[in-house]
Amino acid sequence: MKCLGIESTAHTFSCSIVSNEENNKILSEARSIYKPPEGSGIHPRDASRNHMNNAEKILRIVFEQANVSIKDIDIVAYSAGPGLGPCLRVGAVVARAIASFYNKPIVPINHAVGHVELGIMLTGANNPLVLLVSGGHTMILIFSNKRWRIFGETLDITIGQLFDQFGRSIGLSSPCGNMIEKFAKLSDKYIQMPIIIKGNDVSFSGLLTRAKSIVSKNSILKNETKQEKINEVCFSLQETAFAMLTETVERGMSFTGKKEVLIVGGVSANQRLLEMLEKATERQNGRLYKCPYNYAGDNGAQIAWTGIMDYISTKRVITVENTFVRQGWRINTVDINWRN
Amino acid sequence: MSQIEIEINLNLKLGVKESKTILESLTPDNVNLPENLEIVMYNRRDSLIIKIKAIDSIETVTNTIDEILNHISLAKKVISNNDRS
Repeated sequence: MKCLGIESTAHTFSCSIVSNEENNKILSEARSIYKPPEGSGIHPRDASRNHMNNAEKILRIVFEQANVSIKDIDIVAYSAGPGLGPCLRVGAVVARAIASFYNKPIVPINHAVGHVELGIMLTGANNPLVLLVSGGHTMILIFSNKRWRIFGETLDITIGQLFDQFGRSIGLSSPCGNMIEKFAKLSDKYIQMPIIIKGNDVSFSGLLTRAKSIVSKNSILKNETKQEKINEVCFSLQETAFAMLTETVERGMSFTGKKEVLIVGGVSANQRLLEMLEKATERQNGRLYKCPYNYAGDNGAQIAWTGIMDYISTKRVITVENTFVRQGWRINTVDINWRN
Repeated sequence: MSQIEIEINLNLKLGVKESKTILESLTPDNVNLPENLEIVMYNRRDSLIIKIKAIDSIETVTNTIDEILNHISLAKKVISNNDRS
């Protein structure tokens, strides 16, 4: 079976063709990423315009890369949420148009489930504790009784929002994680930051306020010294936020007895976070599974692969008229019928 | 102060199959609309008919028409690419 997957929850418009024949293969994947102006966050309408302007080109690329035609596609899957309304609607319109015109089954997919399921497929993890870290999510998940259950999550902003909001305050453009990691590598001077862990949940807003206030107090410094201070704050921000995540992952491993940890989502590209999680999983005699860099961020393959799993296990046929987008679709409300 | 009622009717000749596809692609999102906005879409022969009614919100109407027309253009582009068939 071949599935065309369409992802459009936030910055990224991506399509992918995935096959479950011959050891599950991503036949093609292409994406267009909306970049807001420096110092600005994502504007949903502007991002959706980027998606509309690039959708046709991205579709053409994935069909060419995979060397297939629409006749070879068995189902069409799209990310139905959670995400930004105008962006979600672009992906849904593309998916519905193809499904309706070419008479293909259509499958709405939860974006977060897509991250987790593609991570499992690509890494070969069996029954992991999952750390999903991105601009839209910060949660620790375990599979139980047909659903991905939330063991711990952020109580306010996500780790991606922490980095983006701090990054924008120093003039970077979203997503800012890469630049913050780059600056953090240039310092080893730790500035005290608040660590907030409540049960298995974390809170990053106090950390953001502290980081922004340090930079603003030093705004009169000259360029070189100011950059040094920014590097110190980036280093301290990463160390603190990642220590909070590592602590909760270790708690999760200890509590559930799980020996596998899978990290997925855009922030899983951060080398320092991976390093800290490697040490934590070693301490618990476990193993860390990392989603490959190319598929850590939002991509159409996560939607296509989950579309295949969902369609095969449920054989559910949704008419195009009954498809939906849900901006606040929580992962723990989705039935996972293909996993025991 | 009296209310402003805005009513806009669009009649788009797209072809029978195309207008059915575009209708199916757009209508599922016409949910949870603000109280002062009403959207009706249907097919008549080879045309897609769209009626938008709003009270006291010109900005809502312009944004809605903008999104609807952009989505129609997008859906049309997606299905008119012969390379995929």
